[in-house]
Amino acid sequence: MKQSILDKPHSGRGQNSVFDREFCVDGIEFELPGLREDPLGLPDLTEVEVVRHFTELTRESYGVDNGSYPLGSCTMKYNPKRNDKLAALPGFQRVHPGQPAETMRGIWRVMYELQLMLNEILGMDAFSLQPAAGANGELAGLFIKKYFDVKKEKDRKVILVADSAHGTNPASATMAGFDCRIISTNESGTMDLEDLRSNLRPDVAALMLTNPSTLGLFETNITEIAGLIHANGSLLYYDGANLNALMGIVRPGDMGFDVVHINTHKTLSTPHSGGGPGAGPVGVKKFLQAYLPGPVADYDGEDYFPSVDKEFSIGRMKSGFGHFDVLVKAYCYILTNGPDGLKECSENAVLNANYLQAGLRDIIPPVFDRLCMHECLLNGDLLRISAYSFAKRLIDYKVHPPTLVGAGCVYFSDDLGSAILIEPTETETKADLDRIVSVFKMVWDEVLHDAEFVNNAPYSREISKVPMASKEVI
Amino acid sequence: MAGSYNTHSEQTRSEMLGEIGVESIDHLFDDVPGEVRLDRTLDLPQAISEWELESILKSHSRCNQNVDDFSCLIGGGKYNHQVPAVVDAIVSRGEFLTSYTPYQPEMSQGILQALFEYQQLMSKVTGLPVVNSSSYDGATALVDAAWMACSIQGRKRILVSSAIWDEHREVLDTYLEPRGVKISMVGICNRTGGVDRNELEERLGKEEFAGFLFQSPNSLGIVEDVEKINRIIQKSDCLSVLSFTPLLSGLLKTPGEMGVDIVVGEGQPLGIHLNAGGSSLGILSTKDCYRRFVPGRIVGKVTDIKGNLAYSLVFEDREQQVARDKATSNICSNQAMNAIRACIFLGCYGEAGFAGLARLNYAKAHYLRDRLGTLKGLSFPFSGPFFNEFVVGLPKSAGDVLAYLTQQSIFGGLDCSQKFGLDHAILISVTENLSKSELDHFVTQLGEAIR
Ligand SMILES: Cc1ncc(COP(=O)(O)O)c(C=O)c1O
Repeated sequence: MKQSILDKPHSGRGQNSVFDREFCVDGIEFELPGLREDPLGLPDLTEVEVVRHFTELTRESYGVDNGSYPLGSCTMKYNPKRNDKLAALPGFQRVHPGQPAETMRGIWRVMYELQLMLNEILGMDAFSLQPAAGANGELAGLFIKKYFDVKKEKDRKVILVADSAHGTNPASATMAGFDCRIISTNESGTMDLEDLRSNLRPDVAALMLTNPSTLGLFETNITEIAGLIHANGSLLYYDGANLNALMGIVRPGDMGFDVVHINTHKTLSTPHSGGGPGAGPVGVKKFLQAYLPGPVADYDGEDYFPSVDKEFSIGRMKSGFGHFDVLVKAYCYILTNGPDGLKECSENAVLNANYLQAGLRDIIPPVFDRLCMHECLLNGDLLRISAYSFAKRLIDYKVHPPTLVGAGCVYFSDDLGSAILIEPTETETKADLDRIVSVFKMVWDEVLHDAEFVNNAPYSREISKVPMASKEVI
Repeated sequence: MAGSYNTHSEQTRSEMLGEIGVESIDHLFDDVPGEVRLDRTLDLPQAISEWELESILKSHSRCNQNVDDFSCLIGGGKYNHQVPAVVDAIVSRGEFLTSYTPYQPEMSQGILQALFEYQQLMSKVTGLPVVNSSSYDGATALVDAAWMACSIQGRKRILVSSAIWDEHREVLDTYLEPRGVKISMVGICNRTGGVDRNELEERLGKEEFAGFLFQSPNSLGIVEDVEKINRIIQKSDCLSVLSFTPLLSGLLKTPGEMGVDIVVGEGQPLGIHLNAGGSSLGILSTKDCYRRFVPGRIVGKVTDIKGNLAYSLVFEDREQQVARDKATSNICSNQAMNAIRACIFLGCYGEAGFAGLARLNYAKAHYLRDRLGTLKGLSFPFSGPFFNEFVVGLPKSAGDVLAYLTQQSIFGGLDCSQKFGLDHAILISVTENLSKSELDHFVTQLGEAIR
C-alpha cells in the first residue's frame, strides 16, 4: 500500500496557487451564510508531487494496454487510441450542453448518425443514446412499462430473468418497480422452455435475455422463446452486453427482441476506465419509439437537432444528452471498421474463444461440451485447488484472471461454483492466445508439484493474495 | 483483412479452425437458427483509414462553437472551470484508462487507491464520512439519495424544493414515479429566491416525508441558508438531502457540519470537461449509520494473506452482483475515471488553492453583478446571497438578447423567463475562466442588446 495522498508531508507552501492579477480577493467580504473558519483538510502538495503520486498509482494498475485481459462478460478488447484523441477535439470536449442548438449541430449530427448505425447493427428502429451505462439502459428499457400503463395493462408486474442473468437484470427490474421471477437453465446450458412456459402468466411484462447468455452460449430456441413471449402480450428485452459475438451475423431485432441495450464499453471498444464512464444506448422497435428517453437526435433533411415525444417519452435518464465523450468513440469505432470489419470482429471473437476452449480442454474442460460463442465457460472442478486460487497465480504471468465466482461481473449459481468464464476478445493474436494456454498449463503443472505455492500466489505484485470475501478493516 | 483492429490472416484463421476441429468460420455459428441470420452485409459506410476518420470527425467538430472561442456565461449545473493539464495527463495513462472495474485487488492497487483517495478527499468536501465511488451524475445521485431516504424511513414520499434544476426534477420523475414514490414541492420566497421556509415548516408539520431535497446554490443561483433549513427539518422526522456545488465548500462550512444527512452533487466542476453535457460525475455522501443504504461501489481496506493492508472493493452485499433484486441500486459500471479526475483536481488545488478558486469565482461574479447594476433597464429580482451565478431581469425577450450575444461570440446565459413569476430573465454564471476584459465586454454587449 503506497502512502496516501493525505499522509504526504505538506509541502509547506500552503499557498493559494489560484490568482488573477486583475482581481484582488483579499479583503473581500463574502456575504454568504455559514462561512467556514477551519481548514477542510485537503492536501498541500506541489504539482510535481501530485503528478508523481498518481503516476506511481498507475504503475500498480493493469489495463488492456498492459496485456491479456480475458475477463468473461467484460469484452476487454483493444481501445483504439485514435478514438480517445478525436473525442478530445475542442469542438466536442469544450461544448457546453446549454449552448444554443444552432451552435452544436455537429454534436447532434454525430449522435443522429450513431443512432442510425446502431439501428442497422441491432436491427432496431430507434435508439436513445441517453443511458449512462448498460444497467442504466436496462432501467430505461424497463421504464417502458409506461407502454403497458397506456394500454391499460397495469397488472403486468413481473419481469422474468434467467437464473444465469447478470445481477443488474433483477436489480433493474426492482428499480423499475417490478417483481422478478427466475427461469432456470437446462442441462445443455440454454433456457428451460418448460420452466418458461409455466412462469409465463398474464402478469408478465417482459423477459430479459442475454444472448449469447452469460454462459457463453447462443439461445438456440430464441425464435420459439420470442413466439411464446409475444403470444402472451409481453415484451422481449435484449441485454446486449454480449453483442460482440453477433455483429453482422444475426441481429437482436431479427430474433424478435422489442427493446435492447448495448454496452459501448464492451462491444464498441470505448475504454472501461477503471469502471466507467461507459454508455448504454437503448433501442426499440417502431411501436415503442415514442417511449424512448429523450431528448434524442433528429434530422429534418437540413438540420440536426434534439427532439422528444412530450406525451409518451418515459422522460430523462440523466442530465445532458448522454455520455457524448464516450459515444463519439463508439462512432469512430464503427466508421473505422465498416460492415465487414465489424463482422470479422465478431467472427474472430468467437474463433478466439473456441480456440482457447479447445486449447485448455485437457486441464479445464468446458462446462457444456459444445461450441461456445465469444466466451467459454470452463469447469474448474479438476484443478485440485480452487479456481480462485488458480486464477491468482495467472497474475504473476501477466494474464488478468478470468471471471469467477466472487471475482467478476457475472453471477454463477451454486452448481457452477468453480466455473471459469474466459473471454479473450478478437484483438488477441494467436500468439497471445497460445501464451494464455501455456500459462494456464504452466500453473497446472505448478499445482501438481507444489499446490501450496500456487495457493499463496501472486508473488509479483505490491500486495499478496487477498482471500475471497475478505472482511473490511475499519 | 477488413477494419484496423482484426489480428488474424486467413491462414491463421484456418489453422485455428483446424485446432478447434471445425471446417469454417460459418460453422462456429451453427447454433444460430438459419431463419434469423442476417443474409446480407450490414448497410454501413465502408471502413476508413485513420486520416479519413480524423478528417470526418474534425469536420463534425467544427460544426460546433465551443467555449474556447466564445465567452461562456452559461452554467446551470455544468461550468466552464479550468481542467488542470495534470488531470488530463494522468487519466489518459493506459494502466488506468483501459482497466476494468477493479475486481482483482492484487492487480489493481493503484486504481483502488486512487478511488479510495477520491472518497477521502470528497468526504472532506462534503463533511460526511461515507462517499460512494460514484453515481452517474448530479441528477441520478439525487435520485439515489431520494431512494435512500425512502428506504431508510420506510416511507415513499418526498418533499422537494422547486428551485432545483429542471433536468434534475425531470430525472426524479422518471425514476421515482414507477417506484411509487410521491413527490411534493415547496416553493421559494419571491423576495430572496431561497426556499420558502415558512411553507417548508408548515408542510413538514402536517405530513410525514422521507426526506426534504433541496439545492444550493439553487436554480436561481441563491446560496441557501442550509443551517436554518436544517433546523426546520430537524423538528420533523425527515432526512435532509442537499444537492450542492462542491466548490462551495471552498468558502462555506461543509454540508455535513451544517447537519445534512445525505449530500449529493454534480462533480463536473472538479476537473471534468464539459463534453457537451456528459460524461460527468455523481457525488453521493452520507453518515456512517446510513452506509448500508448506499448505492454503488465502495473501496475500503482489507488484509492480504500476510496480514498487510490492501485496498479492495468492499461491502458488496449491497450491490447487484450479490444482492440481485434486493440490491440498493442496479448500478454496475459507474464514473470511476471521472471520480479520479475529481481526486486529482482536489490534490492539485489543495487546501489553499481550492479556497482560492472559490473566492475568485465569487469575486468575479460579484464584480459582474456590480457592473451590470450600472446598466439601465436590468433588474435583479432576488435579494438572496449568491456565489457565482445569478438571475438578471431583462427589459425585452431573453431569446432575442441571447441571440444577439451569440452573434457577438458570447454564450450569454440560460433563459429562465416565465419561471417563478419572472418575466424576461436569464441566469448568468461566472467562473475563473472569464477575464476582466471579457466581463467588461459582456457588460457592453448586454447594454447594446437591451437598447
Ligand atoms: C450481461 C451483462 N449485463 C449487464 C451488464 C451491466 O452493464 P454496465 O456495467 O454497463 O452497467 C453487464 C456488465 O457488467 C453484463 O455483463
